Amino acid sequence: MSGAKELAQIIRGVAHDEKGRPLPLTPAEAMALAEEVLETLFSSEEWPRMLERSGLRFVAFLPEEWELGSPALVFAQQWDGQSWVNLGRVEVSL
Amino acid sequence: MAITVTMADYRTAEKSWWCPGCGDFGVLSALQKTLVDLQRLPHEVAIIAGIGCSGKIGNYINCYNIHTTHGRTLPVATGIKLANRDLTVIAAGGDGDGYAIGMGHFMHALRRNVDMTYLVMDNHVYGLTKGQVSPTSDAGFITSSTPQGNLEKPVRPLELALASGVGFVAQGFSGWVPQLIEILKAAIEYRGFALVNVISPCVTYNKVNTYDYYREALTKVEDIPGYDEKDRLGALKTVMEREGLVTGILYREEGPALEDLLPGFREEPIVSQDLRFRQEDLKALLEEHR
Repeated sequence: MSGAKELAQIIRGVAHDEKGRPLPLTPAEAMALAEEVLETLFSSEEWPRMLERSGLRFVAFLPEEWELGSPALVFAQQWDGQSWVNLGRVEVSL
Repeated sequence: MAITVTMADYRTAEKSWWCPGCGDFGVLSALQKTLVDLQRLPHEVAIIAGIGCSGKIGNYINCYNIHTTHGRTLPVATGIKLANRDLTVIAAGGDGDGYAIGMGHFMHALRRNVDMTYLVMDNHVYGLTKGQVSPTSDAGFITSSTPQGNLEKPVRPLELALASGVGFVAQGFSGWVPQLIEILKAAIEYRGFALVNVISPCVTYNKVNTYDYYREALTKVEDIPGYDEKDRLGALKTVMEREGLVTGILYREEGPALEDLLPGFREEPIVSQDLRFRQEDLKALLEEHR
């Protein structure tokens, strides 16, 4: 699934553990996590497609779900203490 | 040849303003699917939306849309329905718009019973203004305006509606779109005022009332043995005992809408009538008061 590489770049450096401590990831670990996130999100029947991993939240949209003409998308977000903040989004070819 | 309405007819090119995962996306897709299932043409539908995140819903549906002033969806919707009863009128807004600044209109719309649907996207927080306490926030809920926890008890719209005598009260959950579609269909087809309160999680400012929380906490009325949607007292008891954590059509009672009872309300909608004031009518009026 395309988009994993871009998602892995976002994840690296911001992932953290349950206690909020930084979770250093190797490129391979970040890639594996990104692939797992995409696979889980896009195989879900549930709406919205959303999951939390390594202190981050990911939200996925199928094509056209986000807005007219949009491809499949995944947003990566982080809790800043008061709200979920977008770290970035990647386009995904399913 | 009959025109077939599809989802594409109800889409707009407006870019989404909502946060990723916002419950209002679920409400939007449910409403679009409902209108398609009912085969309503876009020009037969009017959405009157209030102020708040949820008020953007009218921008994302291709039909008549008024983004009206804060808390005033119901009087504007009432005027539109009385002027053109052929329109499917849907008032839409959030818990702040409907149950805070709009509360006065809400109570009177309930008892007035004009034929319309009131769709409230209830997320228990003020999302548009970045996460302050709202009228339906839980007691103890921590926000930027209640750093030590909400000291007030929440407004309970379902109990208020049931106690007011309104004939259609329902609650949906934006995580359960198929059920919401069935609720919306019944509400739009109901003759009279229909309240549809939708639990629509704010994914940015509310870490308590989340999708996971509601999937665990909510019960569908069809899963409650012996539940009777015609029993107002039973509905009230169920809602109170379960602290509002129920979804489905909670109460439905058929009866006339206000329009059916208004004396002198002519068969033809005002918009179709010839409202020109003629010179001879003016002369006759002046003569009468001479």
